[in-house]
Amino acid sequence: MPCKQPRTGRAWVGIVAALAMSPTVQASDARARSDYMIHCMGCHGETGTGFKSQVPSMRGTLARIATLRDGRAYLLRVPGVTQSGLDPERTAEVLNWALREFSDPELAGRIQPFTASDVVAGRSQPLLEVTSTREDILRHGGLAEGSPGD
Amino acid sequence: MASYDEAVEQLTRRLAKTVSRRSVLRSLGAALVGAASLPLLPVARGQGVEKETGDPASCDYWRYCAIDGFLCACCGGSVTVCPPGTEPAPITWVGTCRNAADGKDYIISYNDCCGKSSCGRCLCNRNEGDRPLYTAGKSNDYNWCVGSNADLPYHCTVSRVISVVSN
Repeated sequence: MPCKQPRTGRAWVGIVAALAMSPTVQASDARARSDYMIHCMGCHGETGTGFKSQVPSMRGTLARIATLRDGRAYLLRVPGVTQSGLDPERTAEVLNWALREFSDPELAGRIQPFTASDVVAGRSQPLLEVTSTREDILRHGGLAEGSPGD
Repeated sequence: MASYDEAVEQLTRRLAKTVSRRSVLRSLGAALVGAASLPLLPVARGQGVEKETGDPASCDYWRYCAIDGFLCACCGGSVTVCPPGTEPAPITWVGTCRNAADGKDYIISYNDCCGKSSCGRCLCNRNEGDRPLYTAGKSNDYNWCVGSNADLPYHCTVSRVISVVSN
C-alpha cells in the first residue's frame, strides 16, 4: 500500500504534538509524583519497593500484573486505591505515573491507561483478601511473587 | 626520543631555577587545607529546601507541623538522622508543611526511629492533617516501629523533606 504521507511529514506532526503536549504532561507528572509521595510513599516507599512481607513492591510487578487476567481489576481494588482519599481522576493519574515510573517502559507503554471511571468501578468493589488474591493472580499468570526491590 | 629527553630536562631545570621547594610545599599545603575546609562552608543542606529558619530542636520548627513524637534532634540524632543504636522504620507517616522562609509547601516524611526505649525529650504533638485511627493511612498516632519491625521499641521521630508539593 503506498504511503499517503511522507515520513518527514509524520515526524513533524509528532514533534509538534510532543512540543505542544510536553508542558501539560510534565505538570501532570509532577502532580502525580507529589500525590504518590503524599498518599502512597508512607507504605510503598519513595521508590516503590514496598516492605518485605508487609507491603508489596510495585517495581517491575505493577505493569506485569496489569497484563494478567483479573490483574487490572485487582490493581483498581487494592486498599491504596480504594481508600486513598484522592479523587478518581488524580488516582488514575497516580496509577499511570506509577506504571511508567516503576515498570519497564516498553511493557508500560502497552497497557491501556487507567481512567477515572476505572477507579470508580474499582472502588465499588474494595478488596479484603488482598494477599491471597494477588498470589492467585500471579500463580495463574505463571509469575512468582517478586521480592521487594524486584 | 633524544629531543623529548632534552625538552623534559630543560623544563625540569627551568622549574628548579624559578620555583623553590618551600613554595611548592606552601601551595600544596594550602590546596590540601582548602579542600578539607570546603565541606564546612555554610551551604543549605536540606533536601530541596533552599532557605529555612528555626531551631530543629524546637517543636515550632516548620518541618514539625504534622509530627507526633519525640524530636530526634533532642535525642542524640538530628532532624533527619536517627540517633546511634536506632534505625528508621521503613513505613512512615507523611504530611505537608508550609516553609515560611520561602512560602512553599513541602512533603515531609516522619520516620520513627526504632531500637531503644522512648527518648522522652522534646515531645512534639502538632498533628496538622492528622485523622482518626480508623483511617489508618492518615493517622499519625500509630507506632510504625511496631508496624514494620515487631521487636523494636519506638525511640524518636525524624522529619525528612521529600520535595515541594506540586498541584
